[in-house]
Amino acid sequence: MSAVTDWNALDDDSFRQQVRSFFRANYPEELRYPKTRLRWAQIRDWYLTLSKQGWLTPAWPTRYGGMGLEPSKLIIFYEEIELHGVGRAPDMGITMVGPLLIQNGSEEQKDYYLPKILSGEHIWCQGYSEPNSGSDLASLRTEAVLDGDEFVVNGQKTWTTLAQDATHIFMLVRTDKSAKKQEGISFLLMDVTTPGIERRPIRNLAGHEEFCECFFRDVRVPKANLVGEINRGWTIAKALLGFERISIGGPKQSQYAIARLEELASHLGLESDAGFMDAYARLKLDVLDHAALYTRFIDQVRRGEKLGSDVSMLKVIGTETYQKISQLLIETAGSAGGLVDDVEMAGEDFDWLTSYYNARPATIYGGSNEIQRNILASQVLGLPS
Amino acid sequence: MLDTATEAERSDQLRLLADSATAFASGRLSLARARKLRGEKPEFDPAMLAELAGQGWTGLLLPEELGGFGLGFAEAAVVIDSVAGQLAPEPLVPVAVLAAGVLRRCAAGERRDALLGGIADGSVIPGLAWQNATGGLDPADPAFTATVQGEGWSVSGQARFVRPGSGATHFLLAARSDKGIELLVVEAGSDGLKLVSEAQADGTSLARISVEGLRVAADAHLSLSAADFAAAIDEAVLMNAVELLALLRRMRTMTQDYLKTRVQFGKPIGSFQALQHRAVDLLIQEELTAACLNQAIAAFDAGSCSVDERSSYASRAKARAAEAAMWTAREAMQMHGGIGVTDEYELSLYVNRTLALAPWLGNASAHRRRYVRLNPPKAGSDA
Ligand SMILES: Cc1cc2nc3c(=O)[nH]c(=O)nc-3n(C[C@H](O)[C@H](O)[C@H](O)COP(=O)(O)OP(=O)(O)OC[C@H]3O[C@@H](n4cnc5c(N)ncnc54)[C@H](O)[C@@H]3O)c2cc1C
Repeated sequence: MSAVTDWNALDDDSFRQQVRSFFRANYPEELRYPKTRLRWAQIRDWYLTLSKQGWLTPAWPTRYGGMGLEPSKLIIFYEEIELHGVGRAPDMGITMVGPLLIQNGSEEQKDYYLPKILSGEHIWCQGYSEPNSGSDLASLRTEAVLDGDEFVVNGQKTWTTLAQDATHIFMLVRTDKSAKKQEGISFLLMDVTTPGIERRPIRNLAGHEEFCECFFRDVRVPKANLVGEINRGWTIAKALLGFERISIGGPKQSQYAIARLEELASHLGLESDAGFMDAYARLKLDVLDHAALYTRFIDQVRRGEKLGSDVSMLKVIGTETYQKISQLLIETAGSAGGLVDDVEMAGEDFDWLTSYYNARPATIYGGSNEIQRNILASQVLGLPS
Repeated sequence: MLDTATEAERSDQLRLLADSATAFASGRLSLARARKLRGEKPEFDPAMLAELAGQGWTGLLLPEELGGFGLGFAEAAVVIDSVAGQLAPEPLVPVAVLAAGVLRRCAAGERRDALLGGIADGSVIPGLAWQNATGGLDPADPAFTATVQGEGWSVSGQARFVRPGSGATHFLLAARSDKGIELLVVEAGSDGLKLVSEAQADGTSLARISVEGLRVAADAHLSLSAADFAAAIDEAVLMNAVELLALLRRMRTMTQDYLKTRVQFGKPIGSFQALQHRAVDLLIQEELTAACLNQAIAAFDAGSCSVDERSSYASRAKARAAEAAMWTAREAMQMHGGIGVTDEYELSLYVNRTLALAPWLGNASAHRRRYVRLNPPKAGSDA
């Protein structure tokens, strides 16, 4: 790799131009705006292209192979990704494990894992949820018992997104059953090929295998795979939540979906249909105003301020707007509303059910919208519980 | 038969019919079977359709002299509810209500009587082709055009959203002519009949059927008035609403059960008021739907309302049932959390069937619009 560039020294416009032209020149046209999550086999080349360019991990400090972007530049980078319709690669290593290790990992862990994320050798998945611990994550029961230099892990994780493509899993495990729920949890890294781990893909209601359940039977994991101190895993994991809430609170999906709705409406000549236009206008304004609110939060990040619990609003309004647009798409499709995949309508192909199917789980994962509302009620409004 | 039975006799009969329909559905129509048939061609089991016919259910609404039972919509609803509740993909409403309803209204004759007899015994499975490519819902403006040619007819055009498509034995092409509505009976697989299947959310499909100058012999031609054609479609719309009610009831009870058993934060999630209120809202929707359908079915069976009143009832029923079922599907998924969006869990079968059935013959929005077209707001009118 060439000498490290100081991206932050560039003015915003020329940085944006550089990012944009690189995406235009290098990102495969056929993978733009993918309708479903891309599998590793599809996106691998792009992952490696970004890696070679030194752009895989824009948020990481330069000394770990990142671009070291400050918040305002990072925002531009992500905006350009979305504008160009760049698909999401398996990014748990990039957005979660990397930053987490940089903050809490040992030198050995950083030296070993970070380069392998950059090289695409390690693909990570997130093993938090369990069959009986979803919203109440702190009740998790997958257990890790210290036996000499190893932890012996038993239990089950579920809804693990794209675990079938992963080489590694980062997990929350119970290491102290007698402590208060949150205080007996540790953060553990594992190679998914370790004996005793079994992964079974789960099909979603659209028929795609996008997540897995993972079983752990007497899995022996080196003690060195513990991140941070024992029984401090909850605090470590929580530090990542702020990032997650803003990244899933963005307006991209709604903007894309409403553009499809606009196209469908114009093909069907609905501009003079007052009933449709009112429903459409309502959602269009929701999209615009959500984007405005998102910008307000992003500005906060740009100024280097910490985000508060109120960021949960973004996820609530963003995901629910997306759902409503997907519903209006189906409604606008009329008798064709139950047809799947690309459906020809007035000479153009539309895929409203994929929007619908993608929009449904968005109010469930990443802390369900009910849980977000609970957070807003207690932590922002200060309502008694 | 409907006229002679007293109210009490009829409700006894309805109960008996409901018992036997429930018994048959739970014994013969498993969800595992419905799951396995998804995406198959044909997407239903013709032998099972024959079995339903053996129960008398495809001929329920047909007069006795044509091999049917001359029963009413209340009886049909009881049967359709059981079959739909078990997600059977067999096209009971499309064949026994829609196609049969259209044929029944055509002038009697050898061809018509044979088709109706075949529906009653399960050997004939016709798909009515009438909607155009963007899903027009005006019965007076069907998808095909027909002109007299020599002894027979020539038909052209393209219809979409035809159920059954694959697995149909015949297609009834509804066409406009300079005289009115013509019905051209074409056997599936005939030369010149182009069929493209479009897959639906639930693993069934709709057919797109096109013909260009297809010659149809005079004896395969039937005709009926636009008003009769519309009346048959309204009956199918109403029975389609019955199917949606069956689906939403299942989704709602699954959710109610789940709220009682799923534990998070040390208590059943049904103890959280945020979910309780939403569960109650679904119950209210279910009851509204059932009440509206019962009223509509009674009016259809009484046979005393005008064509427009009938259409109004059908649209009210469909608007409510489709909206409520789509709403229930969304809330059921949400209140189940992760498991609610998996294929493995049975809820997804109900959600996907709802996605396929709600738009058929017009979605909630289309029927709300039709309702107010038929019943524009008037100053000084009571509800
Ligand atoms: C597509 C998808 C991808 C996912 N990927 C991952 C992944 O990669 N790794 C991972 O670890 N997990 C993943 N998850 C799991 C996700 O985090 C959980 O589904 C989520 O936390 C909800 O948990 P649950 O499914 O057990 O639902 P439950 O917690 O059982 O919730 C059921 C319902 O009850 C509601 N509820 C629960 N508690 C309350 C309350 N106190 N007040 C009001 N309502 C309440 C919920 O909002 C929901 O509507 C994924 C989930 C999905 C759907």
